[in-house]
Amino acid sequence: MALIQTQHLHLAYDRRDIVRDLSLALPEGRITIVVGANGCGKSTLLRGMSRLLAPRSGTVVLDGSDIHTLRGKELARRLGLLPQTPIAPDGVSVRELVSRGRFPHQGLFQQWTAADEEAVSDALAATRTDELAHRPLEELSGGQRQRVWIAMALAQQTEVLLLDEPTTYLDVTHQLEVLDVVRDLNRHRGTTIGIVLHDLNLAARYADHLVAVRDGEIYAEGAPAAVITERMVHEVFALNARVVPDPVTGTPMVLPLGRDHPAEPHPEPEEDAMTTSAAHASPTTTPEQVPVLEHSPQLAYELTVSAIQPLGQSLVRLTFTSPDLVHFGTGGHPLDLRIKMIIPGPNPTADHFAAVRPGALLDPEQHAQWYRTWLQIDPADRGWMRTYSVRELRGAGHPGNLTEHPEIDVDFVLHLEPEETPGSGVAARWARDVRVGDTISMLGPNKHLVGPDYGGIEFRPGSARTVLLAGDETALPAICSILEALPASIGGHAVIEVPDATDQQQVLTRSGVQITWLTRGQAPHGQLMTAEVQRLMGDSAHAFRTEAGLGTGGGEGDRAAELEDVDIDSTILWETTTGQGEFYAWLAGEAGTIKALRRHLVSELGIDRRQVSFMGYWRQGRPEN
Amino acid sequence: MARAPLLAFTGGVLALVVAGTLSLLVGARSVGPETVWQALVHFDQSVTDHVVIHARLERTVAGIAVGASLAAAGAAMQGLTRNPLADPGILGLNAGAAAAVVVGIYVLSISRVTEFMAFAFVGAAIGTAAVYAVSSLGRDGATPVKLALAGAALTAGLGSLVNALVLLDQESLDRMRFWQVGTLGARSLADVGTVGAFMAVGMLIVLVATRTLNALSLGDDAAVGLGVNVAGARLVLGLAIILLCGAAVALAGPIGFLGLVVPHAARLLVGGDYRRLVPVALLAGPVLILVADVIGRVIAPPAEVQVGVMTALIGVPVFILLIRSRRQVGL
Amino acid sequence: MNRRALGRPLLSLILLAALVLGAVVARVLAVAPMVPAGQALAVILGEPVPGISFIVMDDRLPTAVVAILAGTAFGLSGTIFQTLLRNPLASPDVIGVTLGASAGAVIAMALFQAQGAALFWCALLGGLATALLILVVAGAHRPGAGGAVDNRFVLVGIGVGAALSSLISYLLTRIDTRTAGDAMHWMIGSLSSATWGRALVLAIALVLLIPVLVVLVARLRVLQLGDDTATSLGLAVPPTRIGLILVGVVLSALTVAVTGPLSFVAFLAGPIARMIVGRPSFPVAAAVGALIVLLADLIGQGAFGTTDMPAGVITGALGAPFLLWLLTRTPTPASGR
Repeated sequence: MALIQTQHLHLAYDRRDIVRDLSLALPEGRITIVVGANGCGKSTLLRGMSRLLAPRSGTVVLDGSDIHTLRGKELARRLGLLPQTPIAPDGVSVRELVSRGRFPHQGLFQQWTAADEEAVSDALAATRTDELAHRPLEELSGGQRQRVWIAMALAQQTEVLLLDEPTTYLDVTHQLEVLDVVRDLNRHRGTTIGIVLHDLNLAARYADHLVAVRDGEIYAEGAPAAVITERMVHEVFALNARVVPDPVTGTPMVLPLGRDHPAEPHPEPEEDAMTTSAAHASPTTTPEQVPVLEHSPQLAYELTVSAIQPLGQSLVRLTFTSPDLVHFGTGGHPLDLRIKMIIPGPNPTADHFAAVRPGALLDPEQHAQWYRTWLQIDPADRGWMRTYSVRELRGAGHPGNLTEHPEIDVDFVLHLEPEETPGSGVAARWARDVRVGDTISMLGPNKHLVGPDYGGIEFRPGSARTVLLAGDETALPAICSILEALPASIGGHAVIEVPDATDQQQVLTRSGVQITWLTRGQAPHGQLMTAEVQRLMGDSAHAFRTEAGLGTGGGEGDRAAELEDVDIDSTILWETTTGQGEFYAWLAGEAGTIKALRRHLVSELGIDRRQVSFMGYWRQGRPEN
Repeated sequence: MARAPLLAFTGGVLALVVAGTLSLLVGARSVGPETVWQALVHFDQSVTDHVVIHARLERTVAGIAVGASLAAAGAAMQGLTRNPLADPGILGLNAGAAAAVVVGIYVLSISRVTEFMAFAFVGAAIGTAAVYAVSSLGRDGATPVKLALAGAALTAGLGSLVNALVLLDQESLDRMRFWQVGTLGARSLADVGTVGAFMAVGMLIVLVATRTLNALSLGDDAAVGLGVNVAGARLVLGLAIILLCGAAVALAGPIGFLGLVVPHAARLLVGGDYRRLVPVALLAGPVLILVADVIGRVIAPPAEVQVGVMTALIGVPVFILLIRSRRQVGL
Repeated sequence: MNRRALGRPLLSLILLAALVLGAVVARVLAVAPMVPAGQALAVILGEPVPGISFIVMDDRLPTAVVAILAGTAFGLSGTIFQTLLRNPLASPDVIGVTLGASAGAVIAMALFQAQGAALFWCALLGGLATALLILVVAGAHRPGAGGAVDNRFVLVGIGVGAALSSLISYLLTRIDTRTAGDAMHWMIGSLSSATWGRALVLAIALVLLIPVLVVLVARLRVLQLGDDTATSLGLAVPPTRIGLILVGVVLSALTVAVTGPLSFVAFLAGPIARMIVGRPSFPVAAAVGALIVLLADLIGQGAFGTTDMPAGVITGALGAPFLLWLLTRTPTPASGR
């Protein structure tokens, strides 16, 4: 993955200014789509970002370096561009054309290597053009030809791919075909993609991040549901339109009104000068009902269990599938994506989440109240809400999927206490008894509205390069998920206490974090973990404290005042911080253990409380909501 | 706006009068205005000055005829092909006519203007048909680049044919090399009269067809939508172009670039409406060719630079400017 | 790239080489006056044979070698322009380069009564200067969208060519009939001025330029995708384009300076090669060019009895109808996605 961004970019043809002072970053590993009226400068922007047009002023930065300082081939190995109307040589075959995409990887005397061969074959397979490989390009349909051009850009194997109007001249079937190929590419290879598109509805469907450009400046950017509003369409496209949820995907859909169906009096633009403000991206002041996808950052997903895989004595991995999951996720790759599973109660009477299902419409006034309303329902009816980490999210079409829809993996802990008290151990019992084909509701982020700063993500090491992860089996999925995502530059320790030796998992991590597995056996819950953390921290805590530049001037009194005594029985034990210094601790599991550990780190070892995140997932002997 | 065409038209007439007068007055032998007047009113064959003036009068009349013909032909070609680079020289029409004339000179030893004209007509027709047919092949039809290339290819091919013929016969070489450069001074008033009838027919067709040209400039489909019989219009206008170019080639040899430059100049003056463009071009063509001829007479004394060379010297920079001013020469 | 497509150019090349060899043998032996094969072989091996030595070593053999080299250079040059400009009609004959060389030669003849080596240098200079002028005026040093630069290059070349031909016509009227005849003769193109020295010049040029061309052809394949795509593939577009044009221009201007503008050789070699192997191929085009020139010279020497027709007449007379046939046969997609 790579980051490309423009900084105060100013582009002009001859004396005509096209793009003015435009700063835009394409989110890494996402699909960004740029929309705007004809002549607004969106294609020029793409030309500027790919060095086809030298900027008057400002820079385009790829992973920290100005693209104009890179050598031609060097840039071409990292950034690809497919122009709107590429030119095909006469009589060229598909495979030959795609192989020309390998140019930046070849030396002066064109040596064709096995890597080149593989890249070309991969590109053909990824665009489903492999069976066309020996056909002349002229013989293909417009959609096939466009896929071949994308294959050529793929063979270039860049981290960033820019596409200028890839659906021009194509009929609607082929437009979708081409964009599906692009999305698969993004989902499977993590390629950062920037597309200029004129079709707003297609843009809304395929974009993770939407940028509306007007007169060479950014009018609004963000999740499609936030950007595509009636006001935006009016001001950017000079078009009166209604915006309704797309009945197929739930993304916003623009219905132009035209002259015969005048809009209700539209609010006049308040500002003359355009400011690239997020204010425009806020949802419109709309009629009573708005689409959930445009308004609610959390959605209720109806999941079906598609696979059950025991991981050890105390853990089971459930794979869930749902067409709704196309809306699930955050703008970025989270280290720890938290969701709420609604463990069904014994006597459900209705769907209590109807108001936040992806296709629904909701009343913004009452929306804020829904959680409170839900809490007041009898648990036997509404069920119980439990928090879990998503181990893996696989987009639709992923080769590892069992169904055609997106799938997620969630690990459940089988904490089976002998006596069944109401509200206690419900999740474990549900997970024990679940069968493939069972359904469950889940609350999770709406990817159209939430960004990487989504509140469900608790692991935020900030600038820290040394981390401490500690937790019991309930935190195990989260810790494993974090470890798998951590970059190589981070080191430290992970301490995981599990009930039984069979619960230990194989964790693949690039990071330098050392994992210590503790088997509880007959020992009291949390005892082994506490001892191990104290041992690990005993030697090095002082170093962390001084490196963070804290604990010298403030004195003991300040820190004691900061660390309030939390009553874990009445309050949810939950404090997440973003790491400040070199060190970041992340503690999760049984509330009593976690509270004790935190006290040890902050009060006894003198580590700044902002460097310690702690989460009490559950309390021994006490049920949750 | 209503006055601009009138202004351009009046200006054109005035310019033509000035250019005509200059053409009578200026030359290697300086003759006073009074003598010129005398020569025009009371021509006396025994006075040398009168003979000189008569010769100048002949080439002035020929210049007016050729200039108007080429300008009308150029305007019609540009409208018909929707191609700003269309010109009898660029599109191989002159080459066709010239080759036919050279074949005539070599094979049949032709020398009379009617014979020249007959051969030039046939050659121009064949050249036009060949270039247009060749460039219309392929998916995207007759684009400017393809038309120009087909014309240049035809010119190259016919050029080598002409060279081969000329090589076999010294006498035709001599006649050919003087004819090929394009000159106004070689024809009598009677010749102009013979050819002039054809030119008049051609110009009349173009003048009548200005509305059709306006419709055609919107594209064939739009023209059909406006009720134009496109195939018929093509045929009639093509015939007019061949008449005009063939007659001009017969009279003065192949003169390039005039047909290109003049319609563009007229377009700058009165806009793209062919109803105004063609009349203005009909005035501007003779003005340009007469001015070029006058400059050619004085630029390298005592010799003359033929008008065909002068129009190329003036035309090529304009041609290149046109190409450079367009961001994309419609491929 | 299946095996059949790879095998075909190789086979075609071998076949064409055999044909070229056959034509060389015919050119040395079978033209009046006939030379017995045994004597010719003896002469080539260094044995002096009175009467035969001169004919073989100083006339026919250098002519055949120059024919091969000139045809190769024309074939390569034509294919460069046709591929670069994406148009089968865009050969150096058409886009002004050849006319530049001709103008240089005619100016030299008309103003300085130049002959021989001086004529050669003036023609070369004329061709190069014209190409440079076209390059600068067309703005080939800047990249452009679509085929804008290529189109400008073609059109400016045609315009400059038309002005030059007008200039040539003018100069032809300024000189005496004899010189004019010489100039016309020169402008047709023939192998009559072929000498070992000229052959050496052409050979050196080919030896130097072919490796450059090999490097550039890999880039040409990328440049064919258009300036935008080529730039985004990391190709330095303006230098590559200028490099290719310069190689093409030097090859054709040098050859024109040696043989005169043998029309249609550069034009036809590429398309014929493409018909033979099914796709553009530089080596095959070079072989086809060599064969065309050799055959044209052979026909000119043999077919018209005692009158020797210059090779340029033959290429022109046979080339024009062939071109028309070619154009009606294959659509000419100047562009296309």
